[in-house]
Amino acid sequence: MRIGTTRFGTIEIAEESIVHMPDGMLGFESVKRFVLLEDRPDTAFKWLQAVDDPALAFIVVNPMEFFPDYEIELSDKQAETLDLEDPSEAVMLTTVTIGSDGRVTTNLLGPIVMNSRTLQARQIVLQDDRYGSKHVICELPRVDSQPRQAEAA
Amino acid sequence: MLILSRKIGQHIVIGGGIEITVVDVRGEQVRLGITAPRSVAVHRKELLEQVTAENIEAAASALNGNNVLGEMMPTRKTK
Repeated sequence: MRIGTTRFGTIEIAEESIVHMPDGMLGFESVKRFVLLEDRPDTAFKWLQAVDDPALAFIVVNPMEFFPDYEIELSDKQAETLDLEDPSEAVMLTTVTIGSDGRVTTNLLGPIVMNSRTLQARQIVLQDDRYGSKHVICELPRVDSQPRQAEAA
Repeated sequence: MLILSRKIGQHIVIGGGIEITVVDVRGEQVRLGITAPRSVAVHRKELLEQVTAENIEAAASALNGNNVLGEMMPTRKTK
């Protein structure tokens, strides 16, 4: 099927690749279908693009690539609603925010857990004081809008 | 809003199966014990608000193109 996206234009996606989020993302509860765009293996960054809202997309990463010790504990109920039969079926994704200061952060407090077998996913809010919503993963080079002054010799 | 006064060790029951117990009160901090069915999500409100705010910020920053990350991003065009 074809979907419209603000960033990528019209793209072709397979219907069976649609990720279903029955509760949506917090703040975007009405948007329940996404597609994970990850066809660039040379970058850690992927896109979670809304199927039904061209303008809505999240940059996501696998948090383990940046924080190898990151761990989350799902309640029985959370595992049950995701229909997880085995922990290996769970895929973790965390959203990325590019701050106005150039800092690129990821939200370890509210990870997205996806069942790789069923492509059902939910955003989980952890009850874990170790994790916040802005963990720095890299810093972008500053782009100065003002012309640089010549340095004194 | 219904406001009830409770002492340490006393409970509030909400509907069928949700019970809140005042465990301890120290200064400005109240410790609550919550028993609820597994189908009921219990969250500290400020954490929900924090994740909601971060989602909104993440979506906005992803939409603001022309950032360096954009060049690292996947591109997929209609065949």
